[in-house]
Amino acid sequence: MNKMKPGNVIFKIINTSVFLIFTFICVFPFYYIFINTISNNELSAAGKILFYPIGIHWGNYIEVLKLKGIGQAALVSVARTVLGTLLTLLGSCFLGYAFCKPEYWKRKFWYRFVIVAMYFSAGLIPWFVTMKSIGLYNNFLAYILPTMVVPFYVILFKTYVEQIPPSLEESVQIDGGGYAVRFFNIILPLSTPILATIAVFACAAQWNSFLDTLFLVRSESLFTLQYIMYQYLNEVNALANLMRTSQATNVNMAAMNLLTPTSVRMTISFVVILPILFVYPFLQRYFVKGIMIGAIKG
Amino acid sequence: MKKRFNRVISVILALAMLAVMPACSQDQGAKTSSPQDTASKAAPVVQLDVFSASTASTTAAGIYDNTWWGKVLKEKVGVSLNILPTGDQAQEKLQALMASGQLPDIVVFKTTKDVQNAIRGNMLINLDEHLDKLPNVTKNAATSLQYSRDNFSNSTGKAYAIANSVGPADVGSEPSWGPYLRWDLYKKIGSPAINTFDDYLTVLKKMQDAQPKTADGKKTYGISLWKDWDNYSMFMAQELSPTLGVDCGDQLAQLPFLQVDFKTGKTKNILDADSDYMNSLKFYYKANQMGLVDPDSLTQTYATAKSKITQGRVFFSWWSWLNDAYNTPERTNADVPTGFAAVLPKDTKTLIPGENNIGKTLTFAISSSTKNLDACLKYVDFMYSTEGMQLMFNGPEGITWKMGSDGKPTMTDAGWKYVNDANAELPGGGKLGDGITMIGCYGLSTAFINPKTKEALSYQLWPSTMVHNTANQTKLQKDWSSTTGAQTTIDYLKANKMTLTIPIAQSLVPAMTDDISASSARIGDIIKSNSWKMVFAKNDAEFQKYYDDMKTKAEGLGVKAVYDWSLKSWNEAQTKAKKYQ
Repeated sequence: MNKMKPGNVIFKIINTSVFLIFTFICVFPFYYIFINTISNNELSAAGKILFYPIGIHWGNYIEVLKLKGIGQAALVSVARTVLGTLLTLLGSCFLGYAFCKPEYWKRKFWYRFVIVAMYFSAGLIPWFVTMKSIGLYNNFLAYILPTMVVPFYVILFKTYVEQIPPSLEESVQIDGGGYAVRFFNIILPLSTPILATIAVFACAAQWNSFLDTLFLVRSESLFTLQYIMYQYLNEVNALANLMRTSQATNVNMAAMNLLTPTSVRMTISFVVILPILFVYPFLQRYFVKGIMIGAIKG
Repeated sequence: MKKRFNRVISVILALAMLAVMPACSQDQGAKTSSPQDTASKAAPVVQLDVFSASTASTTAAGIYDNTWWGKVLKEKVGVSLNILPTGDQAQEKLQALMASGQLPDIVVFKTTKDVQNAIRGNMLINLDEHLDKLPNVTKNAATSLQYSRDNFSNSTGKAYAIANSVGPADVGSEPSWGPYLRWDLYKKIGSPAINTFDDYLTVLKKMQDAQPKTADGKKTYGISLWKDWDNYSMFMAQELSPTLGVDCGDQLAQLPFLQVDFKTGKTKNILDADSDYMNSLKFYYKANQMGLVDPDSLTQTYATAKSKITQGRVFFSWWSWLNDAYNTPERTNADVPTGFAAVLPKDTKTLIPGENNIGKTLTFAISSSTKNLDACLKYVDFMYSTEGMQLMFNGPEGITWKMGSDGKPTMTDAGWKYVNDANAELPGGGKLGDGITMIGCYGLSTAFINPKTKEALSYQLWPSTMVHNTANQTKLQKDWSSTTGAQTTIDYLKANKMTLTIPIAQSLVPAMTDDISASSARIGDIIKSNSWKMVFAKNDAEFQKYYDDMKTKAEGLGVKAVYDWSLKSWNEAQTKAKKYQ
């Protein structure tokens, strides 16, 4: 083995420790929540669990799984994440691809039209009224249809496709392949890195969204996991608001002061963030470099 | 590769289908099963959509059929409530619903301004046309109905909404404001007399010296503050003056920057150097100079501060319900009982709620787009019936409470169990507090007298409860009683003429206009940040510097206009109040 220069050794030590600290900062919050969910509830409420769990038990998880409507909410969350992500990929990518085609009718106008929507939104009330009038109130489709075309993903995909050599597509065009054939057989297989990127974004956005539930849903069977978590985390705010807005009477306060124990709230958070944590590693194999090396000659 | 990809996709799609299918089938199941359930009973159960803007119900959503309260509603009213999700966006959601032109069946409004807008949009049922179906409302809340016609009918003179919590003052055994001290430590240092608020500081200092650390070695503090409840000013600085009979504009009605002294009726700007708000800031400032204030106060939230109280690291509490964080049965019944108990200054004039025939600020209303008007009317009427409220406050009859042979209600042993362990599940499902927190709004006050029993509706005010409480006093309460000679804090306050009733005018203050609310928020930011700086100022000069800065900046932002609005609104409310007293 070659002997390393002292400068290199110092660099390696500093480099490794900086990254270790960085990793620790990233991982610790999750670890902290986790050890609090499995520790003795009283100790965790008193803030005494810092680095390792004490009095390990899984009661909180059993408690959380027994929460009203949690199974149904999990199904809805999974369904909207899977279907929503697929539809987003399909909608945004095909539009991105279409915007690459110079023969697209008034391409520049439509492209700009989509981009403008990225920066400006009409606001809450017009959005609500629109959704309601097109029948997306209290409808599962309200979760997945509106996110089909996301301007940001359209831009990402368009820019990616533009750097694919046109000759690849032309090879199919010569054989009589139409837009759909070219898109599905040539463009998509070559775009797995960007597809995976968009999928990660879309998945996380779908999974984490709760405002649509808050505004557009009236029946319990469409509540999502994220919304249920929001309800519990919101308890603390609710108590504060009650105090602030002078509705406080002793009766109210006695009922409201019943906060769900901290450890149970942490368990809900953990259960809710866990699935989405696994999405990235799962998609990582699609982040391949150099997929097109050697695809065209000379 | 491609085949595998296809397979993956098809598996995912199949899973997704599986996930959605039960969603549909369960939904249908719920719809079809309810008529079957009710086929055996006489009246069909109608599902009503409810929107509640009450902050007490922000965490409720969905159907609560399998709770004891859901069953009461099914049985007695024939309705099942579907509560729409609101979270902390209730006002935004209400605006959106109103813009779409249709409100859910039952609406609980937070401000009368929203009621008037809904009337203007033709979105509410005129209750005056259906008074024959609202016998309990007309019987128990007649003044409140008239108040509604006069004040938020959009000048139609018809009642479209009814205010909540109508009836006599619901004063229990503890006042809304303390202060409370750690009684064990207070006795340990010789129970020195408290003449003015400043005496708390010396007392707290001695208490801190007597116990500088908790048993497990954590530093103790006299006072621990938190920032996340601040509204238009520092919340904690609003909470001392109610003990002296003064409201600083942010605690009772929303009258930004107006201080009202209920002892004298005098008003003042809270920015004046001698206002009670400034006195409170000075109090905390002095406390901080003496090392009594928890240095985490600037950054911590209520939850953190509360956990410090639970750990016994804090000796001062503003409210009786906060004491419960520390006063566990083990502590209050220990050989040397420890816990918080009231230690009041000599010039105490604690504000207590007064008779409220017009109701409070929330209102019940029925949407004009409802398809189940009769069920809605029945539900609203139930909210104003003594029978309904008695169940809501006390739980299911026969389980948590029973009617004695003398026709007087008493709590059962099981009932006391649920009162003491409020998270426990009742036989019918749900918690004891569910009736109250589901909608966060009820028609009659807890102290409303039930003509059948001649007693208040809530168990908290029954004579049998007083007997129970006296028999079950904790060692801490006994100790406190033997010193003060009174059973409860309220008894003590009343015996010493230390209470002051909050006048009815407080409920008649109009909602802020958008302009006033926007500039209050702007000025509030200045006041809040400078208030905290003043409390943690290094010396008197710095304290004064931040005060001057606060005053100049607030005046620059037009605090005068907001103050004038508050004063005008308060005067109008007082004039109006004469009519309903």
